Order: sequence, then C-alpha cells, then structure tokens
Amino acid sequence: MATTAPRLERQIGASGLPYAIRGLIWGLIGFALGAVVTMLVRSLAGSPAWRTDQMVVIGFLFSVPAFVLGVGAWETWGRGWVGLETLEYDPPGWRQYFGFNLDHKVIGIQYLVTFIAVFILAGAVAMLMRTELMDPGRTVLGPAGFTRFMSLHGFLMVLVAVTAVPGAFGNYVMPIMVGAEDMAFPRLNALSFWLWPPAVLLLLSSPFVGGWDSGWTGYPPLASVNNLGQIFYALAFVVGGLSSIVASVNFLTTIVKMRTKGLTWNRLPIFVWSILLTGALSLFFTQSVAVAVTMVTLDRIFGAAFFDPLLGGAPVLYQHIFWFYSHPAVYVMVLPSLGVMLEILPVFSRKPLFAYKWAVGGIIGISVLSGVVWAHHMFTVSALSDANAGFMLSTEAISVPTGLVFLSAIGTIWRGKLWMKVPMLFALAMVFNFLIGGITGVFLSDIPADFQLQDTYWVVAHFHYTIVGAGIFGLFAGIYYWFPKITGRMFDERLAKVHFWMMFVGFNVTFLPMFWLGLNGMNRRIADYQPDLAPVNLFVSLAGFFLGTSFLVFLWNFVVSWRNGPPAGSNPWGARTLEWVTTSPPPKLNFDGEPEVLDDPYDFAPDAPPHAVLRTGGER
Amino acid sequence: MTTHAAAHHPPYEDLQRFGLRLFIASEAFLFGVMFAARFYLLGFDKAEAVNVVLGLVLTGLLLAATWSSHRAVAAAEAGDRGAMQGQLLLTMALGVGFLALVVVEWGAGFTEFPISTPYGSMFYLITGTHSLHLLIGLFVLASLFLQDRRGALSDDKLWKLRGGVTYWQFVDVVWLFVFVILYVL
Repeated sequence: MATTAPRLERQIGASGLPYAIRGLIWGLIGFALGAVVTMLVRSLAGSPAWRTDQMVVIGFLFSVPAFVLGVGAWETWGRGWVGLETLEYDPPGWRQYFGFNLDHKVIGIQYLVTFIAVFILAGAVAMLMRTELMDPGRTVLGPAGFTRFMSLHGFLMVLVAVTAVPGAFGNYVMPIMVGAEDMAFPRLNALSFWLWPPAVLLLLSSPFVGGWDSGWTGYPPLASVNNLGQIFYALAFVVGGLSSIVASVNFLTTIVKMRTKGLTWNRLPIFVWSILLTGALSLFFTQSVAVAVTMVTLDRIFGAAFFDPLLGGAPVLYQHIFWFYSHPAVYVMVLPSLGVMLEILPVFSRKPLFAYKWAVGGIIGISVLSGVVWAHHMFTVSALSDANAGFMLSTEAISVPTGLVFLSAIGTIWRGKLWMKVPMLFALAMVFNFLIGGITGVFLSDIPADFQLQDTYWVVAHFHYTIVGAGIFGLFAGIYYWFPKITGRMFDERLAKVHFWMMFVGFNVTFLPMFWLGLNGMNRRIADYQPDLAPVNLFVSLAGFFLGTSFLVFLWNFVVSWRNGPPAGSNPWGARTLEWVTTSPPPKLNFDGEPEVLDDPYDFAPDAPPHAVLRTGGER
Repeated sequence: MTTHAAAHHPPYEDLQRFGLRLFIASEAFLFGVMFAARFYLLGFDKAEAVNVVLGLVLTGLLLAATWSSHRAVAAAEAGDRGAMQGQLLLTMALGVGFLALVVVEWGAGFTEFPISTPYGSMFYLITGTHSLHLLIGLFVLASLFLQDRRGALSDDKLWKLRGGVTYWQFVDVVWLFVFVILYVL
C-alpha cells in the first residue's frame, strides 16, 4: 500500500516560485507548441498555415498536460514514468494549496474554494441577466449579449453543481468516513483537481472571443456555426469530463476496497452511499458527452458531417448522445447533496436515519433509472415517436425511488427532537425545495403538458428548484456541517442564520414566480418578453438581487470565521460518524490510531455503543 | 511499525486492478457510444472503397501485439527480464507499425471517403479515437521499458507491468470491434 511506504525524503515547493504559477507558464508554452505544430502540419499539407480554431484546439490539448506537469505532477509522478525517484510536494502554510499536493484533505479544500469562487462569478453573471430582464426590450446586454452570458452562467453553474459537493466533501470527508488514510489513488486525485483550472480559465476567457450562445447544452446546428467560444465550451467539457472520470475511479475504489475494519455495507454512512452511486454515474456516462462535443468540434474544425443535414448528418443524434450523459448528470448534481441532507437530518433530530435500507435502495434506484430517461428532454424534437411513451413512463417511475429518499427524510425528523442549527436549517430547506422541484417535474415528464411548457420559464423554475434548491442548498448544508471539522473553527452562528434566511427566502421569491411566468408563455434563453409580464419580471429581478447579496454574508462569515473563529472541538454536533472521532482538523493520516467500526452510524440511543473507536498500538 | 500499519487495507495491486477495471469499463462506454452513433447515422451502410485487406493486416498486427505483450508478462513472472524487455520492444514495434499503416490508410481514405461524408466522419472519429488510445498504451509500455532499464521495476512492482499490459490488450480488443463495424458490416 503506497501510503504506508516510507515517506520520501526529498520535498519540493517550500520556497521559490509557487508551482501553480509554473504550471501556468508551462501551460502557455504547451499552448504555443501545439499551435505551432498545427501550423507546421497545415503548411506541409499545403494549406495556409494560420487557422485559429484548429490552433486553439490542438494548442489547448497540448497545454493541459503541460499545465498539470508544471504544477508539480512532473516531480511527484512523471519522474517515476521514466524510472527516476519521485519527490513529494508537501510545503507548509498557504503553499500547500498551490501545487500537486496528494493529501485528500488539501484537495478537498482546493475543490471547495475553487468552486465557491466559480459559483460567485457565475452568480454575478446571473445578476447581469436579471438586470437585462428587469424590463422588456433592450436593457443592458442586448439580445446577443444576453444569450452569451446566459450560456456562460448556465455552463459554469452546471460545473459547480456537478463538481462542488463530490469534489469538496467526497474528497475531504468521504475517506475519513470510511476510515481510510487517503484515497486509493492520491495522484489521480490530485490530477482530477488540477484538470479544472485550465478548463475554468478557458471558460472565463471565452467572452474575449465573443463567447457562445447555445446555452450549456450546445446544440448543433447553431453550435456548428457560432463564435469560437463554442470550442472553448467543448474543450472545457472534455477536460472537466476527464476529471470526473478519474475522480470516479478513485471514489469507487476507495469505497469498495478501503473501508476500515467493521465498516460493513449495512453500516456505511448514507453520504458515502450517495458518493458511490454518483461515482458510478459519472464513470459510465461522462464519456458520452465527450463524444458529443468532440463531434461538434470535428464538424467545425475539420468539416465533418455528423450534424450537418446537407452533408447527410443528423442534428438529433447530438441530442441523444448529449442527454445520454446529461440526464444522469442531473443526478450527479443532486445525489451527493441528498446524501448530505440524509447525513445531517439524523444528527440534528437525534434519531436513527429512518428506513436506511430503503433510502439506499432509493439512491440506487434513481441511479439505475437515470440511464433510461434521456429522451424526455426531446419530446418536442421527436414528437411523433412511439418511444416517447416509454420515456414518459421511465421518467415518471423515477419519482418512486425519489419518494423513498423523501420518506426517509420525513420519517427521520418525524417526532424527533429537532436541534435547529444552521446545517439542519439547510437540510430542512432542501426537503421543502426539492418537493416543489420534484412535483413540478412531473408535469414536464408528461408529454402533452411538456409540449406546452417546453422552453418556457416553467423549465427554468423547475430545474433551479432541483439543482439549486437541493444541489446548492446541499452544498451549503455541507459547508456549515463540516466547516468546524475542516477548519477546526466554528462559524458565526448569527451571520450564518442571516445567510440562511436571506438565501431561503430569496431563492423562493425569485424562482416561484417563474412558474407563473412560464405558464404565461415567457420563453427561456431570450432577452425579451411580452410587455404584460413586466411587473412580475421586475419583482423576480429584485428578488434575485436579494438572493445574490445573501452570498456576500456567507463569504464574509466564511473568511472571517476560518481565520478567527473560536475553536470548534472535535465533535461540536455530537455526531457519530468517523470524521467526528478524529481531531478538527484531522492529522496528516486522518487518525491517531486504527479506526474500528462497531455499530450503526445513526443509533443515537443513550446506551448505544459508539459507531467507531480508535485503537491505538497498545490496545491491540 | 506505526499504528498506521493499515492491515485492513488491501495490497496496492488489488486497488490498482480494481481501479483499472473501472477505467476500462468507462472506456468501453466511450467506444460503445461511438459505435451506437455509427449505426444511428449510417445503419449498415459503409463506403465500398474501404480497404478490408488493409483492415485485416491491421487486425493481425494487434493480435500479434496482444500475444507478445502477454509473453512480456510471462517472462517477467518467470524472472527473465531480458526476454521481458524484448517482448515489450516487439509489442511497441507492432504498435508503431499499426499507427504507421493507419496514417497510410487515412492518406488514401481522404480521397475515397472524405471526412465530409457521414461514413468518413465516423471512420476518422472511431479510428482516430482508437489510435489515440493506442498511442497512450505505447507511452505506458515505453515507460515500463524505461523503468525496467533503470532498475526501478522491482519484483514487487510487477503489478505496474500487468496493469499496463491489461490496458494495452483492452485497446487491442477494441480494435476487433472497430474492424467489424467499420470494415466488415
């Protein structure tokens, strides 16, 4: 087992240029190299040397490995490929976060901070969109600018929703919950994080080449003919997808193979179950979206015929391949957060998780069914297809396992002694929001209703209620729940409650009226609307700004409490799972002893044995 | 021995084998999606100009490479590092020969079934993706060869060789499917 091998003596990264900066320099050199190679090959083939889109694609594909090697993968990993001794990147202080660090706790924090930053940026873009929509007609962005910022907002937020909870807590908390010293493959874990900065930087630079206007779904034929930003989108999707696949291999192997003594499947914390099934979904389905956006890119840069009907291609093929990934992806966005919710509810209700096995079955059922529902995004595309009925039924069938998860949540708080701390408030809000999101989705799965509601604000409201109302609320539930563990400090409870109530009220008053807007015919993805919808849109915009300011309260509390909060102790919530058995923050290898699981994670009876104990050397 | 002896953790080879199987399953999905797209777009149509004989030669090269990669593992397990290095070199040579023939084939194909036709698009997408994976496999084999030359591949690290060869053989097996659905059907 690699982590038990003697630690390597030679350390890097403690002084000099931060490795992240070196990575950027290497990445730029790699980009230039790729662009020059493209020009050379084009010259040899007798074409004009300069062709921007091809040079961008090949350049980026060169720059990503160069960046990853530059942030320290060369010393910690690459040297081993050529038979040299590898070095260790483990500098003290802030530098530990700015290089190829293999510690899963460092990687969890890298993910958390990165994706909070992306979340805030994408939220700021949403503020711009709501400014445009404050009144009909042109306001600030104009039609073209609006669709581009809408696309940027949508795609960045999708990346946050897919990545933040598994990236932050799947990395930081999950290995501790299963009693492991680290993930199964620490280097792959670092790789999965360091693939993100090139993808995110590429997207953030896309407005400088005119962005792209086909939304986060990037349908051809529009995606085959629009701005260069469309290629940035495709490249970011492929690289982010590779990161998801690599991370999934790690999650699954860690959970299946590295559980500590006594941690049987029956005793596995529910959050670990949700990461296991999320990992399985990402592992298999992510490949498909890479195929879809690669095909669009080939159409654009090499004149391929996949989606051009004039050349014999089929645009609908894109939608099949895209949604074959992207419907399971919405469960990748939501399942980890539902896991966080079910993890928090028993702790703050002081009751066992109700119907644990049924909740696990619900998570498994959602995951299995998610692979056979993709064409419900395409009812209006293939309106006469007999297959639609099957997709309607499979979609509606998903409400059954989802209902199991719900019943587990409700049964857990039923007659519990609720302790209304901030993580609990977020978990309860998720139950409320996801109920609205789930029920409004039933209308969309119904074919006749979908014909009316397709591409209206009903859809916008529905998916924000599921992805934000459950996914992002789950992110914040997790942040407040594990903040004391990760930082060793307690946040300001009062400010956290201000954040919660602003976010909960702001979220609902922003998105609830959108159902009404959708029923009244307001189109999504368009900067304009009929004048009679102006008063409600003004209200929604103001509510949206209120929702936006709630995150400033969060940021302030997050930064100040991380620096100056009072010490939290190892178990401020009186929870039972393994991460609360060790110190806050945990030591380098997570436990000062050998963890052994004895009992159920959620048995809060006063005389129950502990979930787990640490055996030190002497006790053995 | 510290308390972190981690007696409950499986040996690293066990983790590595499990993780590699997951990754291969994921890669199988990648090729599966492209194969499905081929039938969605083209049905059972193909370009008559596609060179089946060349496809058979390519298949033969990779079957030989599968065998030689297997011999490399067998030689290493028998303790014969010289034979292992020889078989690795042979495998890599077969792989490089394969890629060279693919380049020749593409050169001819660009005029017979250009990328601007549906069959051409599928052909270059699928063979290109496969060749990219083969290239990665070549890097892995080259890395194993280099590690052994520098004495860094001790007997307790042979799982690296087994893993690399398993991946190589997976890419070879994918070719059989590519051959059937692009050349034969």
